[in-house]
Amino acid sequence: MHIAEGVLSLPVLVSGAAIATAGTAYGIKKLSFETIPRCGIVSAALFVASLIHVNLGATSVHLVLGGLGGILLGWSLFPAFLVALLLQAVLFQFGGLIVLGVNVTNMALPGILAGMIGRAMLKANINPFICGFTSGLLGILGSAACVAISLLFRGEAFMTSAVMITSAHLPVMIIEGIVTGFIVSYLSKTDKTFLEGGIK
Amino acid sequence: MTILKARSMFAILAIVSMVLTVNPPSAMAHRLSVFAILEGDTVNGEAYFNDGTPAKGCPVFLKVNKDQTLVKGKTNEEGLFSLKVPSPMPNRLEVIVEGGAGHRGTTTIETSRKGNETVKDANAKTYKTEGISLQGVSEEAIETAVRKVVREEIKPVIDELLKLNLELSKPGITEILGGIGYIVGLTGLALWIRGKKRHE
Repeated sequence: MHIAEGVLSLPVLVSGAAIATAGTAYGIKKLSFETIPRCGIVSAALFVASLIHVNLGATSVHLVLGGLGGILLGWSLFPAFLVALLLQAVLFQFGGLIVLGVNVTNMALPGILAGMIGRAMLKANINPFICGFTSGLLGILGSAACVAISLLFRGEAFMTSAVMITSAHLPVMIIEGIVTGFIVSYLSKTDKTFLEGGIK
Repeated sequence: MTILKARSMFAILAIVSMVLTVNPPSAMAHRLSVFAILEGDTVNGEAYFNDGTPAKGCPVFLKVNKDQTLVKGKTNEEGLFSLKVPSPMPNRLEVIVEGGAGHRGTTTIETSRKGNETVKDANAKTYKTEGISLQGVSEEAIETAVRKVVREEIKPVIDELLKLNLELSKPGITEILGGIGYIVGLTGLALWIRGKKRHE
């Protein structure tokens, strides 16, 4: 999911950085005393999630946990992803510092939207596992689409790369859906307040 | 309620770290590493994702500078590639492997080092090596023979170097724990600042 340094054109890099900056500022503003620890834990989970890797022929895919982060943090997923991806870039050389903004946007934005859908479903009293599964799956699907859009301006035809990236991430979508489903159903059993917690 | 919340958050981290232990950090991806050496006028190399999976059938470019591509090629099923550089040999070669979907790995080769220079001396016909005189053997023939022997002799060293390179490109436990430490620290810092504001 991480786009490497030197692949993208300047306009894509700048707009990615702008969206990430605005999202992070808004996300930090939304953080309350109660949700800061939650943001930290999610950030740590995002940081290690990329190490859980599914080997698939020529490409390699890993968990992103964007949907789960979206359910738990809402807009505060932006700062969580910023910290996690910054540390991944510095320590693991995943992605890079110049493409950081684009990578943060590609993972956080779909995660937030997927989280909104998941939360709406949870409020409608749908089975929590299904809610989590949907969020996890949509998060990866959205990120794959965002990566394809980012590469669009580079001459890689959108449909070809979108189909390629999405099909490569199909198994991870399902795995991430199951992981997110289990965590959300566990949370809804043990802690009914996790949907509140000052995140609107 | 807060304790319960903290507990369920802890459970998430526990699940993630459990999955991590099941899939040890040896299985990771999302960085494309390239290793290349110049042998005579041929660039031989290897490209792999940092979980050790070879980058199969990926386009390889040899570039003199950003805009000027000298040779184009592809990696084989084992991620290996071998490209002949047309003369004259440039001083510096950039090797770029495109992994698709935003993956990209680069390395540079300094070609101007001694050993790649061929000094031609048309008149030299006699070589004395510890009492053995070689007459009528062209310098070129000797050089080719020596190159061949040296190449065979250093092959284990190069293989070892490749293995070491592969090992180094994987994130270690130090980086993982260091990153988590950073996140814990940042969370603490944010709590401290917010806590101070709440008091005032």
